[in-house]
Amino acid sequence: MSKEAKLNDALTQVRSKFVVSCQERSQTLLEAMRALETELDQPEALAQVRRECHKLAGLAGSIGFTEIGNLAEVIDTRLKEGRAGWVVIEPMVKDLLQRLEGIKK
Amino acid sequence: MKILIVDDEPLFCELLKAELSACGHTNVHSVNSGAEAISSIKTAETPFDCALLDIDMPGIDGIELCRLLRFEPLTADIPLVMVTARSEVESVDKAFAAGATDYLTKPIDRRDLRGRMTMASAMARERVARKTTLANNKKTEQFPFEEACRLEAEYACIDYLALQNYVLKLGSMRMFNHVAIGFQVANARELFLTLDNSAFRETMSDIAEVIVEATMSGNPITSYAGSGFFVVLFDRHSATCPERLADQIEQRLQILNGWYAQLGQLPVRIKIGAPISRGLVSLRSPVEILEKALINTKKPITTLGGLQEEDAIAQIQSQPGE
Repeated sequence: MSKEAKLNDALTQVRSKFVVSCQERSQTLLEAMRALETELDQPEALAQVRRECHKLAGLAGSIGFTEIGNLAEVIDTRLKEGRAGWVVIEPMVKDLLQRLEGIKK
Repeated sequence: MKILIVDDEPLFCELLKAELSACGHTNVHSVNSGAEAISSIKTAETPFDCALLDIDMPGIDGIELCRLLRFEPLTADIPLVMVTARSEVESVDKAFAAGATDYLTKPIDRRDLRGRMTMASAMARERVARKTTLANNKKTEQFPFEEACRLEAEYACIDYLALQNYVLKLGSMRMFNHVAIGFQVANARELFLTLDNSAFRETMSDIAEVIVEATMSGNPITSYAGSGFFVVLFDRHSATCPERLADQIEQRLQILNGWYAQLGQLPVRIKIGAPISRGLVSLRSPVEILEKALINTKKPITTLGGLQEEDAIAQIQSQPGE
């Protein structure tokens, strides 16, 4: 098998594992969202959202899920800067969840 | 080349392994935290030649890990490439100050990764060749005067190649926020000829510490460029004025030269070049700014540690006429 074929094979495997992992990633985001629904001042839940988006930004964009990667990067950056409140972030996270749901199908 | 990937996202590690394998690097290991990285490095049967470190990790983050690896003899001089999200580009300044050699941004660009790894491989090969030469020469270190040898400064003094990578990544616009100052050990060649290589390296390391201590307030990034030249990059807004900087270096240099006198070693003289920064419309590339800072030491704004006749003449010639 050529190096290129091996690489494509490995990338296909990483993509498949990523698609499977989306269930767990969505779950993590949903749990954080629920926590934030009950009380906005929850640094731990916000950190959880940021951590998951940070990972998605680096990984998804590198394996061809560019839109998910870009959206996750925007959320990560906004949360890191601390300038946007949850009211602004929440619709973006919902959008991200829909996209994650989309690739699971 | 044996490579260690440190990233808290296991799938990203898998992806990097596949990409590295496609460019010929098959001896690649990965761990998911800074603590695991330290443990792997200490227990490895054969040492790692290069490490790729994620910056944002829980526990020991990539910058702290980079700093710790520079103090670890097994990894003190291996290429350390930071792999970071675009949202953390400002963290890269800290990473270079902590001893990083280079950095890559996520999402990974295949061409960028290959280019960076080619450079890291060359550095790793050079390191192995240096160690082999050292072993063959019965532990007597040998390097040419011109070589930007790695210094053992207590404070951050990065490789010149790493500094060049850093300013290239800063780009022309962000370079506007920095000032570069060149320093030259005026009698470096004389020192090189009278000391053995190891003692010369120690002397240059002492000078690096003097420069770093004196410039600490300006968030400096210091680098040794070989041939007795140093270049320091400061924040434009927090840089110390040259006169104050000269005073601070002179005080420390007097103490250092006192010690050298006791050891029977020649005193060190340091020339300081005029600060150089990049204007917003300048055509100079960031690397050219570093080179210009070094050239500016030819007509120094001051020479410390005792003035020799030729320095005095050069200084008089560089003064504006009345």
